Amino acid sequence: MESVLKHVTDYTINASRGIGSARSISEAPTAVVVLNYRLPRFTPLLWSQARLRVCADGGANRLYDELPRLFPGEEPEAVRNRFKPDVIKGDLDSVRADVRDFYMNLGTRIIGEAHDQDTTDFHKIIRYIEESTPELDKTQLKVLVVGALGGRFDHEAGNINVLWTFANSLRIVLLSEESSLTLLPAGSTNEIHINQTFEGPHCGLLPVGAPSLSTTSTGLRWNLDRTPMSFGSLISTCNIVESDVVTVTSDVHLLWTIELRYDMDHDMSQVFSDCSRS
Amino acid sequence: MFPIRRLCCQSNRIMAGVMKHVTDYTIHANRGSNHEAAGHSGRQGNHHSESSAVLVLLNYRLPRFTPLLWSQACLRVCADGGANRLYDELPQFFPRDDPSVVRLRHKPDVIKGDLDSIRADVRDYYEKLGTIIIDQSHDQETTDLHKCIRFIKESTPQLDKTLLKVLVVGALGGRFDHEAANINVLWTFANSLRIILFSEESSLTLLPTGYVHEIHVDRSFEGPHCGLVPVGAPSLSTTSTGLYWNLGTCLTEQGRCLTSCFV
Repeated sequence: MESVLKHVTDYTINASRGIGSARSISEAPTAVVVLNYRLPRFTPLLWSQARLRVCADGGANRLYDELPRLFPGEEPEAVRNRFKPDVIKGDLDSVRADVRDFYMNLGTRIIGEAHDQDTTDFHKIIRYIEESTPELDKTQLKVLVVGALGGRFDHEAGNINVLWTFANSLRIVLLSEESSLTLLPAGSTNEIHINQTFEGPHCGLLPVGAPSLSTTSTGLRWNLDRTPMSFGSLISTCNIVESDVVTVTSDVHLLWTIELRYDMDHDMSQVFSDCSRS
Repeated sequence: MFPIRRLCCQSNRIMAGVMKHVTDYTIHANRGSNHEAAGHSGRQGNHHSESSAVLVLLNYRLPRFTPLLWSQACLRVCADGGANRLYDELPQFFPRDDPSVVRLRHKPDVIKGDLDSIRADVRDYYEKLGTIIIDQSHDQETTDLHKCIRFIKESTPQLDKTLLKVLVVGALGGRFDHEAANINVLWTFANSLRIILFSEESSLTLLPTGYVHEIHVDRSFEGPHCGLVPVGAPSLSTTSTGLYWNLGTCLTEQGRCLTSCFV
């Protein structure tokens, strides 16, 4: 009997019910990782739902520069004080000196690993989260990553590769403003619980690392039924979610992607008007 | 600093020969401003290259060097909503020019696809200018990019396909399933057309298996960072020269030795 692995979207990117409601949705702890590319506009909301906030090297620059722009009615300094990462980690060749000093003075831990050029900053962060948070149940922990997609393609590929490296240890979700990506491990029945208030309908199943001889799904408009998939042949893109629960079983790891419908009209400032770091 | 200009990659199979990848287009207007280059482009095509370039525009944010690629192409095709992008974004690259003048100067030859994304006003505008509009809404099996590539392959008998390069903008970023579908098109046409996907930060092209690939880099605008990505299947053996960290017989598969951020 195959094991069932649940993927539940228990965080939100739209503050439609206010921050308090957003927090109460989630029973599973989340960690937010900020990488060095343009941050989705819902980053503050993910931040507020997280138990741990980590910047990968130049991700700290992004946090410093871009968060104030999301709160145009506020003093940049006040916004920066409110969004202080717990840790900045990596080889520290991208984080600006002024940014590093600012967060260090606020109490952020700065962990440099300049000697390790064999792994990306993102890989180092995931390893850190895995090893340094014994109090967090790793089967429940979800790592939400922003700034992972777009920009230099070799970075994007390297970030997707980290999902494969940690395929059987941590649930990691890469988020851009338009899409989320997560790995569905081979051999399990993956039960994907969709939050249709902001996810979908378009989605895809991608055999990024290796061809699949047999993949089966339910809950999609065009389901797979022991169907082979490979690049150069059939891959599932522009598929449509038709149920709150999608199931996928495959002989290989697959990349699941679903579009995100971010509600731009919601005033982030109202949501955070009295927000203090939890 | 980087004395080696040519990168060679091969897989451990019987080699079909050497395949050259030459960056004979440019994204910098070092021969003049974007304005000048576009104003004099006409249909000259890539006058400083022996190969022909075709430009395909997809429906996502266009790189700022799009006008320059446009001026070097002998054929310009919009995939459905790519026409919206052309209409909306090209004038933004020429802030001192009248938008209608910029649009007139950048008229696509063809707009093709299932036409469910192109705006009615944009379609009418280009149709009146003489752009050929090809409706393939009956074909829901293939992506708009796939339709465009197939069209280019079949409709340009006068172009030598071994010398033809298809430059694609608006292919990366946005919805990830679209990006994956666009990358998949490289695989679909692996042995028939040279296709390059562009974003503002990167270019992507497929290196077909079984060849020794000679990649001639234009270091005035390419690099230094690069990567070799085994998308879709692991590689048992890849060899390279010309990189900071070359591959010997390195096993490359997702989760293991994936070269990225290597100079």
